[in-house]
Amino acid sequence: MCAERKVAVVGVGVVSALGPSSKEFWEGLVSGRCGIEAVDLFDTSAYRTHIGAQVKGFDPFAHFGKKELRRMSRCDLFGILAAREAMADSGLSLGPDDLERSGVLLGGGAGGMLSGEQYRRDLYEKKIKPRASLLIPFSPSVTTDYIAIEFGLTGPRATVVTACSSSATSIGYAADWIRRGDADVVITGGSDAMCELTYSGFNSLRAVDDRPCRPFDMERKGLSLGEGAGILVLEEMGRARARGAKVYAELAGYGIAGDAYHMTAPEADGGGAARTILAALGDAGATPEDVDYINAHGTATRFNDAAETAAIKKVFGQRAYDIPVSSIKSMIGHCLGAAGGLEAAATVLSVYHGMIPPTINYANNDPQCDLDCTPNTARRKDIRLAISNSLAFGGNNTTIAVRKAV
Amino acid sequence: MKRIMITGLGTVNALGLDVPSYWEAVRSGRSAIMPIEGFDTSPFASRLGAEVKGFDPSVSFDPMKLRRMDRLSQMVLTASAEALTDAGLRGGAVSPERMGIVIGNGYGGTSCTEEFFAGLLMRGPSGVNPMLFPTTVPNSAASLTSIELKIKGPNSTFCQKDVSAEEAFIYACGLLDKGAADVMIAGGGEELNPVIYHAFTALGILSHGKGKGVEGCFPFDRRRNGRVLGEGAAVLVLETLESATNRGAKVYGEIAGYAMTGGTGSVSSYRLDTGPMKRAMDTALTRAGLGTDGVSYISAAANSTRDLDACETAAVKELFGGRAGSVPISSIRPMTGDFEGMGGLRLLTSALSITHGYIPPTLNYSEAEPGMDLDYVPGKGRECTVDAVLHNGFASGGACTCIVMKK
Repeated sequence: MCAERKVAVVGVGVVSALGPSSKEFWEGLVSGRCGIEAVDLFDTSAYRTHIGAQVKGFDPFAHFGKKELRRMSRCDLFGILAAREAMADSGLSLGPDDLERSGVLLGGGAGGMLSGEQYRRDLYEKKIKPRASLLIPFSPSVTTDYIAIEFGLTGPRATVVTACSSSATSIGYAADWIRRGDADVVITGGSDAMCELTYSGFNSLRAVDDRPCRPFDMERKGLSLGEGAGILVLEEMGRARARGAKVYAELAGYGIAGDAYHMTAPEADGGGAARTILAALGDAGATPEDVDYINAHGTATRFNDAAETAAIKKVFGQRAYDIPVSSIKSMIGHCLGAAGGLEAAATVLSVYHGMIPPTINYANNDPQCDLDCTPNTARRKDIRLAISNSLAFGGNNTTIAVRKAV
Repeated sequence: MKRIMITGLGTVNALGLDVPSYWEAVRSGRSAIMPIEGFDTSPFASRLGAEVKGFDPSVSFDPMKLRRMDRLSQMVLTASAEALTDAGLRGGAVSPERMGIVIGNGYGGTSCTEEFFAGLLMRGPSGVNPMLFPTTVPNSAASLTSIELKIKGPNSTFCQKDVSAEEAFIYACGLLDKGAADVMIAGGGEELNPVIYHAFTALGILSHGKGKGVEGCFPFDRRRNGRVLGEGAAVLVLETLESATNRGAKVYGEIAGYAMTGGTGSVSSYRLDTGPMKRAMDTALTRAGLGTDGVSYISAAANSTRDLDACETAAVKELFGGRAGSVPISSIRPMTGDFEGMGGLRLLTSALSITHGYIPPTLNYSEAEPGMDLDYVPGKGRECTVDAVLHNGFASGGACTCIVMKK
C-alpha cells in the first residue's frame, strides 16, 4: 500500500430521524435531541413496542418525480438524498477522466424490504397482482447503482451487506480503494429503511426497549430501531488540498475481524471487538494512546454494551476510563445497515468541531458499563483521533479510525 | 503487491456435491438444467432450473446446528470445509485470527426470510419465529461458516447481484495484500427457491417459452431470451505466497490481477456500456502484466440474456481487436444453471481449467447471431494448455469486474 496516499473526508450527507440534512443531524446530536418517537410507517398496534427513530416530515415528491418514485425504495430515497448533500458539500466537480477514477461503495441492510413487504401483502393478503417494480429494489446494491448513475461515476462499485456493520466496512474499504490508488474519489457510507421484517424480528428476539433506548444504563432493555442514511465523500488528500477543499478529517484506517462465536450474541469478554479495534489502530498507524473519543456501537442491549465495555478496557487498560465514549443510537436509534455510515458521519463531525455528542436517556450507573459514556450533555474536546465501532449479527465487527486533519 | 495463490477448492452445486464429482460432470459435458421438482412452477412462464439434489450436510455437521441454518449457509459451510481440507488447513496450520472469509450472494438465505414472513403475514407479529430472524441477514452464510469452522479473521459479505462473488473475491485479495490476513476463504452462492424464482419471472429476467421463445440457457446463441436459474456454493482458499510456501501448500493457480469499474445505464438492465467492461478487462490485464495475447481463455459473464451476451461480445471485440476471434470464450451456465453468487463457481472452474488443461464448452450453442462471431467453444470442451484465464463479471445495474488468474 502506498503510504503517501491519505484519505480526506470532504463531504457529509445525512438523512435521519433528527432531520433530512447533516446540519439538523449535528445540531440535534449536540443538543441531545431524541428522534425516537411513535412509528407510523406501518401499523405497530400488534407489536410489543411502538416506537422507533423514523425519518419524518420530508416530502419525496419535492425531490423525485412520480415515475422515479414508483421504482425506488425508501432506502434508495434516503441514500440518494444524502449522497446529493454530501456531493454538494464536497464542492467537487468531476470531469470525464475524474469520473473513471470515482466510485461508490455502500453498506446495505434491509434495503428495499419495505417495498418487498408491500409486494407480498398485495400478493398473499389482498390477492391482487402486485406491481413488479416493487421488486426492483430487491437487491441491496440498487441504491449503490442509483447513486453511481446519478453522478455518472464509472469507477469501482460495490455493496457490503453484513447487517449492522455493513456501512462501517464499506467506508473502511473505500478508504483502501483510495490508498491503493484504485480510485481518487469515493461516495461511501450506507442507507437503510425501517420495515416490518426487522421490526418484528428484533421484537421477537425481545431485543427492543419499549422506551427510547438507554445505552450503558443499568435499566437498559434493548435497542430502538431507526432508519436513514449517512454518506461521506472521500477524496485523496493531496487532490483535496490542491483544490482547496474543506477537509473535515482524515479517514485514517479500519479494522475488521470476526467473533466466530454466536449469530446474535457477542463474545462476553469482548475478544473479537478488541481485536477489531487494535486492527483499526494498526491500520491507521496509531496506538491506543492517540484515541480521544470512542463512538460506540452502544445498541443498549444488555449483552452488547457490557461486551463492548469489556473490549474497550481490554484495548485501553486503565486509560479506558479517561476516554469519552458515547452512543448516538440514543438519539437516532439503531439504523442497521446505515448505522456505520451515520456514526461515521457523527465521528467525523465530532473530530471537525471538537465536540462530543452525548449518550442521552442516561440515568443509572451499571458497574458492567462503568466508562465515561458522556451522559446527556455534549462536551467540547479537542480530538486527535476517534474510533467508531460497529459490531454486527454473526460477529461481523468493524472499527474505523478518524484523525483530525492537519 | 503481494502474490496471491489459490490453495484449496470446495463446492456444492447442481452438477456435483464436491469438487471431484463436479469436475467429472463438467468434463463429460452434462447439464443439470431440467424442469424444477422442488416447487410448483405452474404459476410462472418458466419451468426450468438447476437444483442441487441429494445434498445432506448432516453427514459432516451436527443436525441440531444445521436446523438453524438456511440452505445457502449449509452449502457455503460444506464447500468451505471441503476447501479448507483440500488446502490442508483443517489442522490449525494457520491461526484462526489470520484466516478470514468473504462471501458474495445476491440475496442470502431467502427461504428462511420467506418462512419468517409467512409467520408475520398469517399470524401477525406474535406469529414470527425468532429463531429464523438471524438467518434473514444476507451475511448469515459467511457468519455461520466462520462460527462453525472457527475463522476469526476478517469476515464480510457482498451483495451486488451477478458480481457479488467477484466483489467478495476482490475484497479478499485486497485484505491479503494489505496484510489483514494470511488466508482467506472467498467465493459465493445462492439458493433456488420459489420467492427468487417468482421475483425474477415478475421482473422478466428468466428465459421462457412464450410466443416463439425457446426456454433454455443459450449464452451467445440467437435463441437466448433470459436466464435459467440454478443454485449452489463454491469457494476458493486464497493465500499469500509466503504463507503457501512456508507450509508447502499445493497451488492451483495465482491471482494475477483484478479490476472493478461501473456503467451508468439503468439499475435493472443488462444493457451495459462496453467502455467500463473494456476498462475492467484492460486494467486487470495491465495489473497482471499481460497483454491480450497472454490470455488463453475468457470465462464469460454472458448469462443468456439478449443484452449482456451481445455487450460482452462487443467489448471483447473492441479490446482484443483482430485477435478476438482466436481466443476461446465460454460459459458454464448451460451446465450449472445461473445464480447471483456463482462467480465463485466460475472462478473455481477456471482454477481447475488451469490445473487440468481443459476449457469447458458453451453447451447448447448452435445458432449463431449476426455480429456475434467469437470462438464460443460450442458443445464440446477442449484439452489444451491454459496459462491465463480472463474472468469477466458484469451485473445488471452496471457493476463490472474482471479477474485474471494464471498458472
